Amino acid sequence: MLDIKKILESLNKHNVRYIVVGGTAAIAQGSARLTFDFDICYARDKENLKNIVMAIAPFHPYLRGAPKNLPFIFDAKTLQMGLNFTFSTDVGDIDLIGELSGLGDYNEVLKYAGKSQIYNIDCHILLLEGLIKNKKTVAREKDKEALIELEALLEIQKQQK
Amino acid sequence: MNTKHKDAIERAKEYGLDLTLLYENLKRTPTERIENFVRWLELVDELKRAKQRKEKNNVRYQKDT
Repeated sequence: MLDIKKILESLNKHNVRYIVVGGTAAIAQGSARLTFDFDICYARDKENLKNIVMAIAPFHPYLRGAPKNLPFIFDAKTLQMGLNFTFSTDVGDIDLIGELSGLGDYNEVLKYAGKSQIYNIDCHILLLEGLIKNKKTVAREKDKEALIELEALLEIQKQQK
Repeated sequence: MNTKHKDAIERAKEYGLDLTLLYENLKRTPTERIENFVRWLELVDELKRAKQRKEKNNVRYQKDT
């Protein structure tokens, strides 16, 4: 099962530059929907790729849905060759996103992010405006309800300020 | 109040979303929201395990009869 605390602790311990995006970011801001994976947008410079590997490798990541006998090495080179990854790990499903639809890479996503604290761990999370922009770009039928909720949440937040 | 913003809440109500859940969540800190979410995940996990146990027991029962 998803262990968000362990994931965040490991990412911060290894100085990974990341932004919490997707369902977890929405939940941290008040969404009442469930998610079963933990999505982060990550910076793709060489140092950060190495740090990600150190942070995630102890959780034994494996390509989600891939056959068990597939040769797979989780290292910086593999991350360098791809962009967006979906992993199964000992602490739940983790998605590494190099570019987020509608927003772009880490530096672009950072413009839509805010600082937050989860379990007393400092992290950046994608704010509602960014989540909405992403959902509108992806425009999947299954995200329709999530988009309606996020827009309502944004309005309620504005009213409460 | 901005009409566009008002529409977002109205649209959610019309869609059938329970906005009281959002208002309750907004009273919590980000950590409390995540902890609440984790409790839901644990419940889902327990339900999955219960389903598996039930299916396993059904197979045993069928073998015995």
